[in-house]
Amino acid sequence: MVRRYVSFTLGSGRYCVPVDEVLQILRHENVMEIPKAPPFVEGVINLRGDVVPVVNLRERLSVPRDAEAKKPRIVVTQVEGRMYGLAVDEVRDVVEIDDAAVHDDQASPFGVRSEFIRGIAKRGDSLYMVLDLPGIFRSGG
Amino acid sequence: MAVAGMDEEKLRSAFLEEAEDLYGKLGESLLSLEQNGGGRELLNETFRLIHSLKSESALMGFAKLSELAHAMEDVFGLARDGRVPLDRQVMDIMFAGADLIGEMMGAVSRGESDEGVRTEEVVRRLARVPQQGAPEGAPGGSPERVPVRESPQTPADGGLPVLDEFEKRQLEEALDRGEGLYRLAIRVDEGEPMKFPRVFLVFNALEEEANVVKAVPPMDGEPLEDALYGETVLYLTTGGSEAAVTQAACVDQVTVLSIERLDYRAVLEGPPARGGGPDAALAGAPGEAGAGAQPSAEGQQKRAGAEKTSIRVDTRKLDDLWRLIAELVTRKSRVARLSEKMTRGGDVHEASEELAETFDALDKIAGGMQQTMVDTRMIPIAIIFSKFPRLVRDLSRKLGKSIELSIRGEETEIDRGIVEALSDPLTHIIRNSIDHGIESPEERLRRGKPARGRVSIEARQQGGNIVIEIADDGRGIDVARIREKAVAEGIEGAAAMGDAALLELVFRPGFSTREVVTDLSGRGVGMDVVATRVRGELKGDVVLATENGRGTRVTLLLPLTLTIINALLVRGDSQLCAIPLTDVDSTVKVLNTEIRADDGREAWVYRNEEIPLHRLGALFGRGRRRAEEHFAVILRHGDRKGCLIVDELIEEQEIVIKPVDDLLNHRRLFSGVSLLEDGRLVFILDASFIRREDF
Repeated sequence: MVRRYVSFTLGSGRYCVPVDEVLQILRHENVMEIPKAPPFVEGVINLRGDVVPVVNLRERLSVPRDAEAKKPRIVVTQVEGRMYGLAVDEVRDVVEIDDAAVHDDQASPFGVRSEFIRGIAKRGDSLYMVLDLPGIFRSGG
Repeated sequence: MAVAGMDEEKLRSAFLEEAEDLYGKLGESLLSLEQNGGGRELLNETFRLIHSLKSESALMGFAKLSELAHAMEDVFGLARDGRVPLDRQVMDIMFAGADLIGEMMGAVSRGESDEGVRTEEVVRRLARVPQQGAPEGAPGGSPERVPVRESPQTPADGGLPVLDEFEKRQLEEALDRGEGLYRLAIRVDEGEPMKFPRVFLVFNALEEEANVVKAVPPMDGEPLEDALYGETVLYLTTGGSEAAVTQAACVDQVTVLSIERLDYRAVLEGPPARGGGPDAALAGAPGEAGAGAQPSAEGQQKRAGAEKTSIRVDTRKLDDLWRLIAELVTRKSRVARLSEKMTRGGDVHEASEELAETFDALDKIAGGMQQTMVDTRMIPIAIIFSKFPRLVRDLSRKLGKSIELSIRGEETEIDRGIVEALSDPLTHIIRNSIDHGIESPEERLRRGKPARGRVSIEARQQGGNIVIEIADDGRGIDVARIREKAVAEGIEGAAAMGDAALLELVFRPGFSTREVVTDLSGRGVGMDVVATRVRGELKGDVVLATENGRGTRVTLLLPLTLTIINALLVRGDSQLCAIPLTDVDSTVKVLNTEIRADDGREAWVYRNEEIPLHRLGALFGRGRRRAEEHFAVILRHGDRKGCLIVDELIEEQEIVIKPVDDLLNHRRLFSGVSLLEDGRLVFILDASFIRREDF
């Protein structure tokens, strides 16, 4: 089955999440810091009266910061009925990926912990890491 | 309605409650009369409703209201007798009349009089109905039967009943027969759970001896709420003696309060105004009726009490509360015993265990009472649903559409405050469904759909939420067109959006209501207002789902109740924090010299008491402020106290609790979060941390 994914980048790495799990995409602004939160929790945003935690994907995946993001965005997702924001460098486009092209037996070439990655999809010359959102938003770790 | 011991304000709100009930039912009856034609039973029911409305409002002195109701009653009376057809034209006048009644009740509930509402036109049209020709089948709509428009009825003084034509005729006949007219006031023992049946027994027994012309509260038709019959006034005529009447009224558990002979003329001429208020009816005031007339409207307008303040509460909820209070009283005496024991020098350890146990019990009782109070705030959503049949009827008629409305789950209970705020958004959504969703019958047939469109409204409870769904089988929303439009408008990420995100755009203020939405389905109009109300004010959510050409479903997700608490707002470092007032013992100033540090733990030493000390700034992560003295909140949780040093005491405030995600609460320090009006984030402190070892 072919699914649609929203793709975005952290540095040169490409990542994606299923379109169905994305509610909206916001400019990266007005994030309120939360004192004493785990480092990967960047803060919260006020989304129409809802308090939505924002996870810094770079921190979460331990991807070193290389250059300043030019168009930083927050991808608002819905996981198990709750909203979470994902801070990313840049949102690219929607890609269609066949389930068959998603490999979950490969080790991540970026050294990313597998509990955050559902699998890696090859599409043309590009590799996309399909994120496992519930894992990313689980507290602790 | 006249019940001894009620003051005018209470009387007025009792009237409003009753009248709103009648008004709601009247609306339903009118609708089904129109849809199903006038079955005899339905006509009787409608007649009874409008009759009661008329009597109740006359009794309260709302002359215009009762005049209009009277005019409607006359027409229904004629219709019941087959003298006037309830055709579309007549029904339209009736609906117009019902609307005006609603308007006047609104005025009354705001503490205004009914006089500001312009009823004249409708009353005139109602009066003309009999002349519009009797149906062929019923010859002789005799001119005498043309309803006589009386001068507006004199407001009741309470001492004398307001009679309708039929009742007046009965009186006139009784007068001709030479019978006496009496007012009999009876009371059913308070302990008697079934009051109406008791009164009914009296009523039956009296019918042997006399002719009961009128009862307040009414005895004919469906009984009102049982408790209202605790004290009942009966107006009757009889050729027999007073004693015989009193004798007949001798039923177990019923006391005759008073019996008094009335003057026919005074009653027939309508009740003259008299001071003393409605209470006089039961006080058995001697028959000095007619003395000291005073303008009635005056007292009317002075009545205070704008909004409806009384509520109906399920007696089971009161029973629950009662049970909890009984428990509370028991526990309270236990505390007293304990304290006595301790002063006498009892075993402290034993006593403290007992105290802890008692505290737990009291905690449960308090929780139970709180829950019960929350429950009493719950009312069935039928209160708003009931107006939708009328809305759908009017709109579909106006737009030339044929629509079948189905309503389910109207018994679902929801917080009173939410219900009130929900009325407008729901009305808006339904309006949209009818206006833009459902196609015209011709178009529907062309598309192979039944000519009659369907709109359904359903409410149900789902966990801690109330779900309300409004669905139609209309043309739906073309999501692809929304995407095109969104891309054209340069909305960020539009090309990448899933259906849900695209539909979400409809809730965005000003999103291209003209091109995309109106010609597709018009759902943009005002949907942003719906979203603001539901998401912002009610802390709920609204979700749109649609299938192009097949229909649209709007789902509202609402909290069962708005969890609002009173909290003390404080600042620790740069972070705001709210402490529920229930956990606050006091606020104090703490001097550095009063702080004792021991093995990394600090305590505030004050008057020989040592209270563990915490610093909010440190809990939030930053360093401590250097100062000689600090503001502090003494927290209390169960038997423990804690001293919490804060950087600023701000104010007490009501805040709405929202759940806090584990990601933000990894130390389990908070019970929730809240957003202030200016958008600032506040953590709600869970004071139980002072009992924990890790703090």
